[in-house]
Order: sequence, then structure tokens, then C-alpha cells
Amino acid sequence: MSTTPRQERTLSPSRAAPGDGAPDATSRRIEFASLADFAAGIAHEINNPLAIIIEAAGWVEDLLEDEHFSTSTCDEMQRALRQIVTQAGRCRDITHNLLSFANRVPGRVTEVRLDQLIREVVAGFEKRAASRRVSIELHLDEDVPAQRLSPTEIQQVLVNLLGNALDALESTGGRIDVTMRWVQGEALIDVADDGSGIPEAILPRIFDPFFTTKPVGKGTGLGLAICSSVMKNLGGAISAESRAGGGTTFHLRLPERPPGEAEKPLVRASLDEDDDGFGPGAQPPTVVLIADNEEGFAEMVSKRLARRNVVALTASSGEETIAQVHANPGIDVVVLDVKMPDMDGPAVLAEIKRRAPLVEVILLSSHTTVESAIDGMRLGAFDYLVKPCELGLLIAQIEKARARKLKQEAKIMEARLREITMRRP
Amino acid sequence: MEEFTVLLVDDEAEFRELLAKRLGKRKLKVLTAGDAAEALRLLASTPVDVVVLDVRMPGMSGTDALREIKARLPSVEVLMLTGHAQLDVALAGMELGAFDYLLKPVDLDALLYRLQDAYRRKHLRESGGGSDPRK
Repeated sequence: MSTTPRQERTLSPSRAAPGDGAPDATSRRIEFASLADFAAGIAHEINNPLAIIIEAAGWVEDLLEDEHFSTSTCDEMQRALRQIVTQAGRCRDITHNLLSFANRVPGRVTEVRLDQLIREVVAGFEKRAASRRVSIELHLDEDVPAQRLSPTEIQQVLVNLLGNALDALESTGGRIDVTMRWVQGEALIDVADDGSGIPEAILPRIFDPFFTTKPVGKGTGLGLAICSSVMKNLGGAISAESRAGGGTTFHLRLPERPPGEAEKPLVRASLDEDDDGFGPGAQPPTVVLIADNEEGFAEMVSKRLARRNVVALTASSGEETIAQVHANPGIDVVVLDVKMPDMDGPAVLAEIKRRAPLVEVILLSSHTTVESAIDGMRLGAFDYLVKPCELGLLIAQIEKARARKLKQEAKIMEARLREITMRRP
Repeated sequence: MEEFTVLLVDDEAEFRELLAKRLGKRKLKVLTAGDAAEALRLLASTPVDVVVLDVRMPGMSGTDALREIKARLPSVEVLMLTGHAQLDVALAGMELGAFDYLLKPVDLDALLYRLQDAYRRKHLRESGGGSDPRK
């Protein structure tokens, strides 16, 4: 990511002190200035990876013009393709970040030790802190009980706060203190820097979306807005305290979310595609139905699955999905987009479960349809994944879903066997 | 087309290397640098015809680098690359004597044409012509 040398927390005059002067015209202009800056920032962040994607694709084209390929040409092409995937991932992260602001995605809930999580996040900042002559001190009460929450969300908050604190200390160096205490059933986390502080006039606005004091491209003005929305979601809160010249402290308040008992273990599968457990083994192939109205996506996924001992069928509407499940009793798992043109996902799922209760269903949702995905979980879906998802993860979930189906089938067979043996004299 | 030497200055290593390979395949001599300081070091030791300069870089900014290059080596032509439409930066660059500016992501053919134009201007000026191919 490119940075500019001017990174003090300066405020452009167009965004300073809202409300003085003609109220309506001024505030509208302020909003527009922020939105324009915001759009420019996003455009810059996306254009950089995009430029690499274009050059990598162009390089493959260049190489394909050669008369004959050597092994090194193939290596070159592979490297370029890998680069395209990596950089597209960068773009995806940006859009996810935007969407997670527009429409919060609940991450996967697991049991989290907050002290460990904080240590991990801080470790990720060590290099950056050292290069800016900033020391990060931890004061963590290790008796804080484990909490059930989505680690990615609280990580996102900490990453934002630490990143801001480091930016604030960029030109001066300094010290960041991260403190955690457990007070009356709440985890209280403070992130404090000893930088120049946030002027009183803008302190009330720092959690507003698009509000930023950083140069274009450096900040999207979404970081603290996301933090605020995450903390609200968790039933907690975020606040800031600052004195001019006296540093800034962000307070996080997180009410207790004790570990539940028999919830489904939500283990994230390995993202490494080669480590997906699908060898050319002796097992009969898994039969998967990819139900997605974007036919390109369904075809692409089914092609890649075909190389992994998975037979993939496709369907492009809700009706077709149900018909396929009916016609092919061999189907183990249905990967179902919750947004089909003719029926909504939960309705398709309910119909599948009615006709073939053992068939497992993995839902694919976009950020805007997470609610239907959650409905689907209640109706007996095996899991849901947010698009675009890593193929490795999808395959791992398909394999797990199939394992559960086989187990259920074995149970039913055992029950039948018992019935038969009991009827015998 | 005549062979000439281009120096690519961009902090995105992947972009730099890929663009270098593609320009190399089109018979240009290409050097690369990850920041302005490295670019200035290279320019001090190696003859370069045209510099392609990303205006947003950590350390010395592209504009400052441009000023420095033009002060030390006035005959070297500089093409500026910018990640998004920063017209003020582009204008400042043109006033400092940049040959032209292009927006990133840039079309390779467009870049090639501008590189050739820039080189031609440098060549003409050095051989005493002094006409500007942009006109």
C-alpha cells in the first residue's frame, strides 16, 4: 500500500467543525467532500491490485504468443496466475470490508481467550511499531474467562485501534498501552497512545462513517465506524477519551458471553487446497449438486471439484434443484445459493429436507442475504458460507457434510438391523 | 524501434516486476526501483532515457523525486503514474517538467506510445532539434 509522507492527523478545512455558518449548505458540502474523498480512497486501494492483475494477465498473453513453451514459461504463467488470485483476493478484502460496514456479516463464533487474541493481534503489529519507534505494552488480566464470540470481529476492532494509534505516533514515536480487566461480568479493554491527541471539536465525529483525518488513500473513514458497529453488535460499546497533547484512549466494553455447552464445533477448515483430504482414495466419489443461478460459477466449481473425486451436478433454479434431488438418490450434498430466481433459499431447503431428509445442504450466501442463511441453519442446513468463498473451504465443508450423512445412514441401517434381529425368534 | 532504457519506480514490487517483464519483451531495456532513493542511486550510476514514476510512494514522494531527478539530470524524461485522478499532483508534476502523466491501471500500449514519444523528445533535444512530439 502506498503511503504519503504527510500523515499527521491533520484536518482538511472542508471537514472541520460542522454546523458553523449556514447550516444546511455547509453540512451538505461537508458530506459531499467526505464521500468524494472516500470514493477516491477506495478507487486508489482497488486500482493498485487491479493494475497488477491486468499486468499479470497481459504477461500470460505475451507468453502464449511464444512459439514453444519451456518449463520455465509454464512456471512463469503459473506465477502470474497465482498473482492474479492473490491480488483479486486483495480487492475482495476491500469489498468485504465495505460490505461488512454496509451490512454486518456475523463471523464464526468460537470460544475465545481474549488475552491470547490480543497478544496475537499485537504480535502482528510488532514490526510496524518498531520501525516507527513505538513500544506496545500489554497489561492483561489473565483471569478474564473465555468468551463465545467471533474472533474476527474483535480482531478487526483491535487492528483498527492499533493501526490508528501507530499512525498517530508515526512522526514522533511513543508508546501504546493495551490494558484488559474483568469488572463485574464485563471485559474492559483500553488502547491508549501518548500521541498529540484528538482535538475536542472533532472528537464527537470520529465514529461517523466517512469521517477521516488521514490523507486520501490512507484511510477510508470506515475504521472506527466499523469498530462502533461491531461493538454494538456484541452488546458492548466503544468510546474515546482524548486531551490535546495528552494522548488518546479508546475504551472497549464487552459484556460476558460465556461458552455454551453442546454447540456445533465450528472448526475452520484448512484453506490449503492440496490438503483437503480428497486423495484418489478407495472411497466412492461424493456426489454434489451445485445449485446456483450464476451458471458460470456453478460450472467452474463443478469442474474444479471433478478433479477431486467429487461428481458434481448443477442446477440453475429452485425447481430444477428439487427435481434433481428427486431424480438422483445418489446426491450426498447440495451446495445451494440462497438467492435463486424462482424460489428463496429456505423454501428450496425445506423442500429438499422434506423429500430427502438425509441429504446435507450447504448454503452459499452473499453479504446481503446472510439472514436467509441463518433461517436456513434453523431449517437444518449443515453450514453456510459467504460468497466468494475459498474453494478449499467449500470442499472441506462438503466432505464434512458428507461424513455426517454417511453417519446418519449408518445409524438408520443399524436401527433397521436391530429391528430385524429382534423380530427373529 | 530503437532500443532505449526505462527505469520503473513503484513501491508495489509485483506491479514493477510484471511491467518490467512485459516491456522487456517489447525490446526495451528496463531497470526497476522500489522507491525514490533507490531510483536516484540508480540514475547516478546508469544512463536512463525515460523514468516511469509512481507519484504515491512511501519515503520521498513522487513529486519530490521528480524535482530531484530534473535537478540532477534535466535531460531524462519522466512519465508519472498515479493510482487515481489526482489532478493537482499531475499538474504540479507537469510544471516541474514531467513529460506526461498516466492513470493506473494503465493500458500497456498507451504506456508504450508515451514512452516512445518521451524518448523521441529526449533524443531530438540531445541532437539539437528540440521539437516537442506532444505538439
